Amino acid sequence: MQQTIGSERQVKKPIALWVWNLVGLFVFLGLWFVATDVLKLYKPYVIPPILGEQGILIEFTDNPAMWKSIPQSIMRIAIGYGTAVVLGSIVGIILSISTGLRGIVGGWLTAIQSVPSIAFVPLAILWFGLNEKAVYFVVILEGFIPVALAISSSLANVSPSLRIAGRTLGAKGLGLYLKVLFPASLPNLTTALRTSWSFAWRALIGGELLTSNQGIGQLLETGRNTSNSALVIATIFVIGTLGIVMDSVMRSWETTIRRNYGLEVNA
Amino acid sequence: MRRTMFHTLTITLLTSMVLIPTISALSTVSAVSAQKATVVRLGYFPNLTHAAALVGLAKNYFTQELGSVKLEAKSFVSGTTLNEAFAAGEIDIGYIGPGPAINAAVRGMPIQIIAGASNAGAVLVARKGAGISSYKDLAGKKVAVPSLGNTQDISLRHILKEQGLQLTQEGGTVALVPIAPADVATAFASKQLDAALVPEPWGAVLEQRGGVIIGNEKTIWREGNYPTTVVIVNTKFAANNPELVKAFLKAHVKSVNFINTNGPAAQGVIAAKLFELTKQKIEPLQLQRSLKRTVITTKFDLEALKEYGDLNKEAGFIRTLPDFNQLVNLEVLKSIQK
Amino acid sequence: MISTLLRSEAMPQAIPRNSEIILELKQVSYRYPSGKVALEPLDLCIHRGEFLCVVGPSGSGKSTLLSLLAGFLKYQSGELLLSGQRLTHPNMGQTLVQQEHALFPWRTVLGNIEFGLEFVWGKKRLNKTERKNKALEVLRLVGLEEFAQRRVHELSGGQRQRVSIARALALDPELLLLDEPFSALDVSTRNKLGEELLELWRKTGKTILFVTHNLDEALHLGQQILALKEGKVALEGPTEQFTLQDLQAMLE
Repeated sequence: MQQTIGSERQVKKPIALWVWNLVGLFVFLGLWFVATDVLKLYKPYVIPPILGEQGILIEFTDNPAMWKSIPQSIMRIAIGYGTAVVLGSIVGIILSISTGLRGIVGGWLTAIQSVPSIAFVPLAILWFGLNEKAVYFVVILEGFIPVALAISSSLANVSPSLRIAGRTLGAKGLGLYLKVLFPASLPNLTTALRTSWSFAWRALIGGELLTSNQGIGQLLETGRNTSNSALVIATIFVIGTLGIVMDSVMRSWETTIRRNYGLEVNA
Repeated sequence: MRRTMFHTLTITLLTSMVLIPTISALSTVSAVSAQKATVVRLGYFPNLTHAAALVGLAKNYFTQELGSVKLEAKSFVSGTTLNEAFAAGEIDIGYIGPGPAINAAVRGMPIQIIAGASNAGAVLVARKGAGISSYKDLAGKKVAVPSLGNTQDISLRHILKEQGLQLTQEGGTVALVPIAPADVATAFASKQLDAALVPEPWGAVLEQRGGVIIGNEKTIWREGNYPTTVVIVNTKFAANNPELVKAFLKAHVKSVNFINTNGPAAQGVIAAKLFELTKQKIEPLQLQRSLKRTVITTKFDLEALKEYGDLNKEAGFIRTLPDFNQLVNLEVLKSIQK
Repeated sequence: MISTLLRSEAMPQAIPRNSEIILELKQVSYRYPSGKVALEPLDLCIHRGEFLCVVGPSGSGKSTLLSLLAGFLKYQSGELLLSGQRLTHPNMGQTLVQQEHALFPWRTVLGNIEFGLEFVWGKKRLNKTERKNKALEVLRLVGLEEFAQRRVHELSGGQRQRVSIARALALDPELLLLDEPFSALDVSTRNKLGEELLELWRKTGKTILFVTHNLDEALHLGQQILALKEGKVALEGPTEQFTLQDLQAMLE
């Protein structure tokens, strides 16, 4: 009896979530195709078809700007997000030292965080000009806050026994930070790093859209300016895809860490 | 297996249930214009190149000609926003640049050009101290246009091509940035920008604030013989309401004639209307200069329009050219001007 | 032989006088910032290789004493010498094993043991391979060499405390401080680990200071006993001098 149950379980493997995601995507694209390409229910300039001259696909196959913009944006997010994480760590460490400071500055950071990044773009343009610096400004501003807040609170909340263990074994100063306090905060940080990533990514698209630097955001603007809704939809697709890919990479990293730390029950 | 099939079916059905109401909601948009119109929805910009629209509104030429049919006039900041409204079926007749008009036609919008409204009327202004005294000097500079793919953007690409210059995204040295003409003066002041190709009256405004005119209305392209604003109509609206289109064009011709025959009076009317719309006072001298560089006319050069199309395609904004025979229909205009 | 001297040199029992003094406290005291006395001036002497159990109820000052010895608290009077040096801050000369939850979850078992070695600089600096070998050697001492690459959360409570002890031993400290290391474990595991600790002590000859509130455990493990009550010494001497009843009576 038991054996039968066991073998049945082995045969029926659970279908991975990403498979369902893909199925969902294909069903959606299929419906889109039927509605636009086959039944032609919509005007192409309102909801473009998938194939053809007015289609979405052609924006990938025959639009040099698309393939020039994607690496540009990826470069920018890499630099911007990287800087945000480093800056956030530094600010977080400083804040972790004093509860008073955390109270004062932390409140400000939370307030800034609640403002959509796009609201800072006009200021950024005024301060840095219509160039990449303005884009970096909003990306870093949006990206560093979650990191700083998470680091300051999780550093302050590292279990005293781990701190004591580190010190009794000879760790002090920077060594204590790098080899005990940071790793101990890591599970709390991964979530913040993911939040920070999605904030930074949105800020990048908004920044590029408004500061006319070549990039994915500018593709949206071009699509809009030239009444090309196919380009707008293709670009949204790119933004979503890159966003979800990065998010799932970070999510799996987060799971690995939590599992290694013994924080996740499943093996 | 059967269960999976069932799931897929359910999802498909559910999604369709969401999509189908959307479809019907969208199709109602076109249904509206299928009936005889009781209102004409006009789109235009508060720019000098749209002077015919401004005068027609200020002097009630449109309402006079349309008689009992109501006029709803909406002003737009750019061809982009006007095109969006046009695509949504909210505009029957509009004043727009040839760039956006071509874009709209290529995307399959029901658009037709039925008259010209102005030629030339755009200048290339350089920031004082930017080291630009001719088109050649644009190399390595930052140049603004009102928006990507608009008429001035296309003109600038033409200038650069003639000078053998290329944009940064094509591997060249000229950086093209879309900035609203109203913000150019600020960008000049903070040295973020070196030059701008702007429609009037912004050229005159920048000139007065110390900007240097590099290319005037004539040297920019085809000795000034190129359209800057045209009158467009929704083809479905035109098919159902030919008499309204004719009435509108009569008023349009009247406006153009008024501007061209009553210089100072027209300037007063235009200045007052611009102030009403933008709350910005334009000095008489600026207005005079702007008008001098703009030709308000119902005529336009079809060859210039075709060249716009070619440049637009070269810039990568469109892949195919519109059928110009379909796009341009001057029959009604000709019947009035006989 | 191994011996302990408490308070004065003139203790009974056969205590060899030739053994080197590892730890010496002269009138060491500690007050909380509030002014409350945690530890009255205390004299204490521990010789190399001794196993001293410190007992007392909570609030007796035993934790304060341990924190002072580990260098986490600064004593406010007297003098505290470890191997003749004034002790002012945490040091590799005296390593502490805590109650529980003090292993680093981001490191493997072996990585935990290597941790302290990474902070050894100068002449004693070990390279990566040497550190690994040293850690494996210590891990073998506590019988967990096959768990070297495991994660901390994969171990049982008893195994974790063995690793904690191995980690503290890896630095080869003069003095091993244990703060109720088995109190969170079930009785049978506690007894088993107690035996193992005794064996480890015999094998390595380490000087051990073991703090516990469990009098049975103290009597069983300790060679010497120091009982504290309200910051003062209540009772001290070789374990065999006392019965459980003595201790219970003194500490009541």
